[in-house]
Amino acid sequence: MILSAKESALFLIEKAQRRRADGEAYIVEYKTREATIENNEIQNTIQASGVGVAFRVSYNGKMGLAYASGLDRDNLYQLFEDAFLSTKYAVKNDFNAFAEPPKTVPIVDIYDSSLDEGTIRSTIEHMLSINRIFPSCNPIRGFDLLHYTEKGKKVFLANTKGLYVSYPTSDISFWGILRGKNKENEQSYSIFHKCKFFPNEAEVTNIAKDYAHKLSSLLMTTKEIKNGEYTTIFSPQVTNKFLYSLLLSLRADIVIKRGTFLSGRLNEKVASNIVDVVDDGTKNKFYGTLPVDDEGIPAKSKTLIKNGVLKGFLHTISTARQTKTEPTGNAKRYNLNKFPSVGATNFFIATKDTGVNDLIASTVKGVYLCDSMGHGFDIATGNFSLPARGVLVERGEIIHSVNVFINTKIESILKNIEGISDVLGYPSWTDVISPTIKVRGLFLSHIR
Amino acid sequence: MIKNIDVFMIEKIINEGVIRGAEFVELFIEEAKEISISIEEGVIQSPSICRNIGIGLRIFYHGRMAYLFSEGLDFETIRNNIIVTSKIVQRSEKSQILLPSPKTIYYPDHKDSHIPMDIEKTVSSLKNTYESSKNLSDKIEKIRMNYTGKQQNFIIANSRGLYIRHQRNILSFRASASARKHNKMQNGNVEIRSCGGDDVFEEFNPKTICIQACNKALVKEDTREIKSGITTAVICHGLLLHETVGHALESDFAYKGNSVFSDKIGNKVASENVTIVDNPLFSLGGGSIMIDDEGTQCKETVLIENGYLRSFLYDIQTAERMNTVSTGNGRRESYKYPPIPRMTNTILKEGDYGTEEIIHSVKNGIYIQRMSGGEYNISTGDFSCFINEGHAIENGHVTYPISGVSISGNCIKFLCNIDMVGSEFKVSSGDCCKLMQQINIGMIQPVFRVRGIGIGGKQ
Repeated sequence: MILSAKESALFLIEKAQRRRADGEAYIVEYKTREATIENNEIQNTIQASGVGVAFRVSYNGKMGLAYASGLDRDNLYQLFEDAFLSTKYAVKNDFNAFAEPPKTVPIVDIYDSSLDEGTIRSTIEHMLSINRIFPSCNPIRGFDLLHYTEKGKKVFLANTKGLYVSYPTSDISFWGILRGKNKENEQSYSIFHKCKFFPNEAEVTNIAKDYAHKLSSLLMTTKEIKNGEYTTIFSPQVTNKFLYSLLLSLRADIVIKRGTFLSGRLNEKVASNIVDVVDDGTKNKFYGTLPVDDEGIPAKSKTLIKNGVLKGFLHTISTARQTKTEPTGNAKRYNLNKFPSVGATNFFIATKDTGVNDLIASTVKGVYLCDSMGHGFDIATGNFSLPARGVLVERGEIIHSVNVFINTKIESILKNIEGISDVLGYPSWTDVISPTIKVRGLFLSHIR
Repeated sequence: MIKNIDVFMIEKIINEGVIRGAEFVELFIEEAKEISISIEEGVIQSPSICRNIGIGLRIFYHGRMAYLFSEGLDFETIRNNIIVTSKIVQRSEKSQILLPSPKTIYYPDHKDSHIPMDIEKTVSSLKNTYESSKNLSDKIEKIRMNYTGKQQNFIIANSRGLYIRHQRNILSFRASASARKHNKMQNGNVEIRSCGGDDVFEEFNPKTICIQACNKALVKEDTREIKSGITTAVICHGLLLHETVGHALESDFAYKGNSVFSDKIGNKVASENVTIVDNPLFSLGGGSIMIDDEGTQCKETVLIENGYLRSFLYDIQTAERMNTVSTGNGRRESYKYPPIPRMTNTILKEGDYGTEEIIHSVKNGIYIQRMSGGEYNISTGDFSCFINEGHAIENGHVTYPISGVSISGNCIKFLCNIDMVGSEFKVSSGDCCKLMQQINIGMIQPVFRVRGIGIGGKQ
């Protein structure tokens, strides 16, 4: 017998109560449609719908978790017994707790209802329009590969404390390999974009123009630069890598378990005066926005670094109790199979009032980094390493393309930020959103 | 549950596609159970039990693939979706697929294993491991262990008469130790991943792995900075070959002409010291499988032989497009994904040199023991990796530790510059993510020497 999501949540909660246990059901119903095109030929489509249930139960202070797919009543019985069995092996942990029902929940716009009327045919049309618009921006020649996804989800969260929240959310994303060409050179360039609402033609054109601009720079002939210190401008794509490393360092679960280079440094100066780092789960239509986090704590805006001074970390209920602070609404289930851990909502460096072109034009001698490959980060020391591609800038003019290594500490980048652009780029797959930043005196070495 | 599935239901679904003109219909029905336990300072932290069951349907009309999946055993939804899909997929003569004729009805020896699912035994084994490792040295301050045991049962059936039931066990274990030395903490990590039959769990010895992690933390010294430039590297970690050879030779990119290796079959692409194979049958490798996720029986595939490019890694779809046969490399994360060409265990065949002999041959260079964050550009062959553990080599001797730097290069140049290959194998394993699908893979290689690697330092 198949139950609805709400019935399933209540069924599990009631069973927990009967056993004198606390419990929390997190259920996600989803529908997804995907399509792939390669060299202008549609290759495949994917359609699916499903439901997953994660159930946490706390008995005598010991917490266990079980996960199952489907809402069959027999499955739910098994799920409950699995969760209860797992508590047998856990130890009593006073920091574990479930959320109280929230007094207010922010009203946020995060669902594109046109998904409901969509079919795989409309999904293919959306993908074809992206495939058509990008090559209209020179020097983009087309996609070697484009994968497009539309996903609608409905989340149900209930616990034995009386919390019950349900909300729909949509995820639209595409990624691909662009090919760009000018008279002398040809380059491929990986792109990724995600958003809550279908981008219209003008929005796709703007995204395409942004990539076209970067590709133009990268298609210039590459020349060697001398190893040394340069004023370095990070495009949002490159800032994302740096910002993601900073995000990991501000996660309270990692701080507690392993320590990061920011452990124990509250109220210390860790960045230049112009740097504010924010995590804000309430920004309408932003990709990371949610009414409540994955434990039921209402979303909020937190300034983690204010005028360069470290002001806080990101918390779940458990990490907040361990460190005698308040949860920040940052519990995240990266995988329903796992316990919630700390994650970002919309994590960004707050924008300032300088245009990107002004950041470049005011550079006497520096490097503007457009793209990067991989990156390495040591969370304990803050060592950060990044191979990147960009262009040499002299007296505000772009001279030629360069390939460089950055090897420095995250803190050194933070403390030397001297300019921040007035717009945020697009969200990365790692949940960070970056402006363009300008960093003085960064040591760059040429990649041969 | 999937044990009780009626074969007539499977036939009915497949025939639903066939009568609507599909060239190929395949069902992948999966039931997986996973237990996961982490233990910190002898205390169990987050035990969990997960069960997944679902159906993936792959269907080809005129060369185009549609993939549908549903959670649970909802055959009716899958059947209805076939009817809808047959109306959507449009004709494309260019990418016609001719699937192999029916010949395989394969039932591997199958016994139900419950070893990985015994949460009680696992908890007890991990607690004993902690007790016996914590007193190794008074400098050891913290020991953490993460264990995941997964048992995957699946059925693959297709319109060409293939019908397989199979069980696969996957074990993943990571031990981390922290030691206090000169008032500073040093960490040591060791991770293993095994995939195969019951032997995966029978041969699992958490104590040995945990002691290795403790010893790593105990011998670790403070790292020093290294100069940027071009250097000679002695490498004993498989990530570079995984990135530069493995991904580049997966046929989905190669057949479109997008890979730097696309038109190079039969050409010299590496030094004569280099023979690289993909071997899914390597015992207890991170990527060991008996059959792939399309039901093709696995075998060793020679990719590069004495420097000459011999083959790509194929699944059924890409093999047909390149007029060849699948190499048994069609892999998927679960029923939620269609199979794509993937590596299993990437193996560099051994050479004649001893590890010490190779190190002594380097005047100045680096010795790389562990890497992460690998990234590879398929079309240009450029790659980069982050060094997690490494040492400088000075006058033929391994000296001070380095870390926090990246190396980069171009794959063909890199392969051509491998000039010494050792005789002693190092086995490493990990997760590999491609097209959003995460699977387990193995990397097995002896120590080798390569010239001309770019390293980014702080000076």
